[in-house]
Amino acid sequence: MSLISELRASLSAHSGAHIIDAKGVSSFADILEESDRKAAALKTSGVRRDSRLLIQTANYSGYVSTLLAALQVGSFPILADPSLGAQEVSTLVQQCGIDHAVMHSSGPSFVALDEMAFHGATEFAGQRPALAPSSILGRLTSGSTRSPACIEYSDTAILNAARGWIAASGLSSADSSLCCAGLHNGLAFNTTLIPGLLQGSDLIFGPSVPTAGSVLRSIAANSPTILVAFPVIYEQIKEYGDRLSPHALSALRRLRLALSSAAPIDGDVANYMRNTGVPIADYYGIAETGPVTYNDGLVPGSQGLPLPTVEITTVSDPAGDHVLAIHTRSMGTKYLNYPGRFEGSLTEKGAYVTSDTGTLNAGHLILGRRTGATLNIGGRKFSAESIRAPLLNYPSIRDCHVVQLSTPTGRDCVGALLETDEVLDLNAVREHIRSEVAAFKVPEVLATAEALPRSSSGKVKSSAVRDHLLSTFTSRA
Amino acid sequence: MTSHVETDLPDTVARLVASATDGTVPVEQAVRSDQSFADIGMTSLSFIRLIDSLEIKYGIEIDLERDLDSMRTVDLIVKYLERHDVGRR
Repeated sequence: MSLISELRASLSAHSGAHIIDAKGVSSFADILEESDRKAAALKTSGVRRDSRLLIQTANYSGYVSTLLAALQVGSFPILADPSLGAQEVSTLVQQCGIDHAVMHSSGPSFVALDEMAFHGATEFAGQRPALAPSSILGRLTSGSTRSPACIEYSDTAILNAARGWIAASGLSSADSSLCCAGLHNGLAFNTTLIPGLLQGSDLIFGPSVPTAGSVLRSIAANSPTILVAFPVIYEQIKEYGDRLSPHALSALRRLRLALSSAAPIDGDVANYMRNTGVPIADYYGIAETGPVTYNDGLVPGSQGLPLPTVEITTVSDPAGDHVLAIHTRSMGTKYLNYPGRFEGSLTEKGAYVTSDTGTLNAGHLILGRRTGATLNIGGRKFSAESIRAPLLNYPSIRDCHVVQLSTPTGRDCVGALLETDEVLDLNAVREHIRSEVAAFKVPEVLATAEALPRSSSGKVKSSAVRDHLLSTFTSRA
Repeated sequence: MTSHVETDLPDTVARLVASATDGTVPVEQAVRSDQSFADIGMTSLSFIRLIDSLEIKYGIEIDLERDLDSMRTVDLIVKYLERHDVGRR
């Protein structure tokens, strides 16, 4: 059975389940009806079975009906972070042959699809890379490529990811999930959106800018059983400490699951949440493989046990690091816009070789460090190269080196040392980068040097760059 | 009875900005700049920290769906706080 058939059957069977967003409440029956209307609208505007449809909006109930409509028409939806920069979107459109888009902003020939989004044709024309025959949906990753790579998934992969998660988490129609992660992201897509629709769980979309205060108010107002959020939300909840209102604390304690992912949880934060009575359940997953492990929050420091049918081994990468190689039944098929790159990262047995080191201890995965130049800021992973390239487009920057830093309070951030002879307006540099890439990739710490520190072989010394950038904190003190 | 605006409110807010950004936006720059926080280097994660620190310090609830534009500079935040009777004594 296809993903769209399964989803439509489930929405019909659970027609009384709800999706709640800032605008109001929609039943699954409402969503189905809306998706039929949107499918007709998309067809009228030229979306066909072989169309590639970019969906780039924030979370709202209309996102779900748009996705269902795109699948119903038979097009290939590509789910993208709404914060992607204009240049990144333009590159993606050309590389992936995206001919239609649904966005919050209106293009030249776009028309309203609902009260929050517009749809229309892109300016793509020309040859486009072929999809694998089984591919039905694409999501993006920026972990190792200069621009976001579109991973193709089959019906089977998406359904297997959801069913594996349902089995591990015990998700049921009695649950309601407050989702504070974007639906384009694996955390939300694989643990909340598709499993929730299949199980008939209520879905609650959190505030568009999820501060801890607004998330706590949403918990108090909606009484979810599950919270899905990136680590920063838990860090900020800890900041409230004993100033949490009894009402908020009581609502927080009614959660049966507080889920985090994508970046390590600080030990103090994990302890605080555990002492509050809401241990954080962590999970490990990557875009290429889908969900890999699940920790119910009771084993500190672990990413948890492998999900059913997941196989984890370690292999040596070219630098000699022992990195995780993972095989799941929810793996992507290939990168649409980086031919051969995905296949080149598979072992002979078809396991995906990650950039993460780690060990298995009594069956529990203990993650180590990330190798290579992949950055992870608050759970968002992207390559240093994706920032370096637009920096080098800025006038008078000869070279640059991008690294991940820890601020004096232990927060991860992006830093870049720029090689230039000029006195640069660093705010103007940031503005330039922001016009090219997603806001979360813009370097927070920028400094200039007449020459990047290099070894005798000419290679840039990352540790010296890091020291240089960290010294800017000292000089601010 | 006349209420008086707390004169060090801009400085207090600027210190919260500096703290939220770990000093990447220093107090002096935060006070002086009429550019938005994003334009002077504040990330979205630091912005979340700032909003939470304002809520905690002043015991207020900030609705970003409605008041996002009031949170873009120190000056705008001070005006927002004054409208909500924060900093008056």
